Amino acid sequence: MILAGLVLYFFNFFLGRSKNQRIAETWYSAFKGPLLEKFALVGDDGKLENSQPGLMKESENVYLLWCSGRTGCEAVLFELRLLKRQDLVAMVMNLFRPQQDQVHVKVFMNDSDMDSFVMCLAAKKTATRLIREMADISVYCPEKKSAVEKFGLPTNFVLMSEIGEASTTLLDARVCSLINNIPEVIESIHFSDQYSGPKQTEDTAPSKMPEVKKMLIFNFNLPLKNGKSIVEAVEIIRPAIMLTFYCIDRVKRFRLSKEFKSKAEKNRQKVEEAFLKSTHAARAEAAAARREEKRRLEKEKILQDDDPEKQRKWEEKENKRLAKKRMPKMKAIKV
Amino acid sequence: MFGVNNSSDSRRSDKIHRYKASAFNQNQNGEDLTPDYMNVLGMVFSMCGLMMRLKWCAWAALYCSCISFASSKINDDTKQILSSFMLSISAVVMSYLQNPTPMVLPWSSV
Repeated sequence: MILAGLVLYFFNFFLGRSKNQRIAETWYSAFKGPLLEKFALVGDDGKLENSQPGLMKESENVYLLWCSGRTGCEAVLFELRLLKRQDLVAMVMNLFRPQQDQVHVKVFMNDSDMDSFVMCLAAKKTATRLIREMADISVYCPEKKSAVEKFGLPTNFVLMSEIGEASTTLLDARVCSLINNIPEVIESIHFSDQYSGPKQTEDTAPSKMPEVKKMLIFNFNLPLKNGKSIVEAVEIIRPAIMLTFYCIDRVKRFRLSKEFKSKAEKNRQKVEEAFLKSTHAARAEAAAARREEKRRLEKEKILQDDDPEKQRKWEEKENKRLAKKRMPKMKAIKV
Repeated sequence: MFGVNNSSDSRRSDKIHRYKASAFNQNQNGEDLTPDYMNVLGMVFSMCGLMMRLKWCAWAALYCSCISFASSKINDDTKQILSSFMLSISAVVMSYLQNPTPMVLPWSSV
């Protein structure tokens, strides 16, 4: 019986793998044309000579497509995160906690082509998760606002925005009507000039500000359920993919007005100050350790030298320094 | 509908950035840790199976290594998966060599 289970598992493995592969290939062939029109390089595996341009397989259920060479952005990474069809146990889990095939689009913007603002439009559940996990959203715009009355979007969307002007301009009528057409496809749209990935956990508190990148991140669902074929699902998602290009151009052209720009700048400064304050002690300690290390090296070097005169001199200097350190600070204020 | 191409081409072949795996490309909602967990679990199970002659442990180890194989990354270390497979299979074989009677589940024997 157990052996039968194993055989079933492997049977499912091959079945699921080929299905995932088929989905990925269908997706790629559907978007290859439009992508080639927009990017100079489509499909790159990062190796020295690009042996086989196309989808990169990260694992049996994750496929990557790297596109680059376009105005406005450095590169775009398409991630097809499919269900783990190859894993029987995961599929059974999926019955209890349904998930969906997703396409994540990550746009790496040029530094000069995006103004400073953070905003995110997401389905309610996702929004809660994003606020909890993403460093930039939780810092700059943790308030959830309903996007219903202002933009006429479906009720399950919420908007998190740092600068109101950015969201009202970027979510224009065109974008909104598209979202209204396919609300089940859009999971989240996240524009950020301060993207630094998920929040760091407490125990690995960094001593310097996390590196930030200007990014646009789109999460789309691939609606494969309800008996839709792969080709149909890909066609449903097509306008969403086109939306990303539209957004790249919009973001590139969009500039904050002076008032909001200064507000954004102030926000960033505030965050940085708070961060510096919180890590002040740690940084001071690190600096002291560095100084000590430098002195020790110097001492070793001098001790290795055979010049007694030099050694004596250095010791004198060192003693002086120590004495000075021990001296009360009062003396310095003497008039 | 959004793909209205302006007369100007938006492609820039002089601005190509090559793909490199960086922190920003990584999956932001946590890396998939199943293969690692399953690897460890498989090790534990096969050790239990070997040491304590528990057949169901050995089988569980075999399943664990299967799951970890199925959800591993392409560029992951194959050696690790192979070794966990070997260990679990050896646990099964050993336990059956020792005692070829069919398996008795611990909770059904009570």
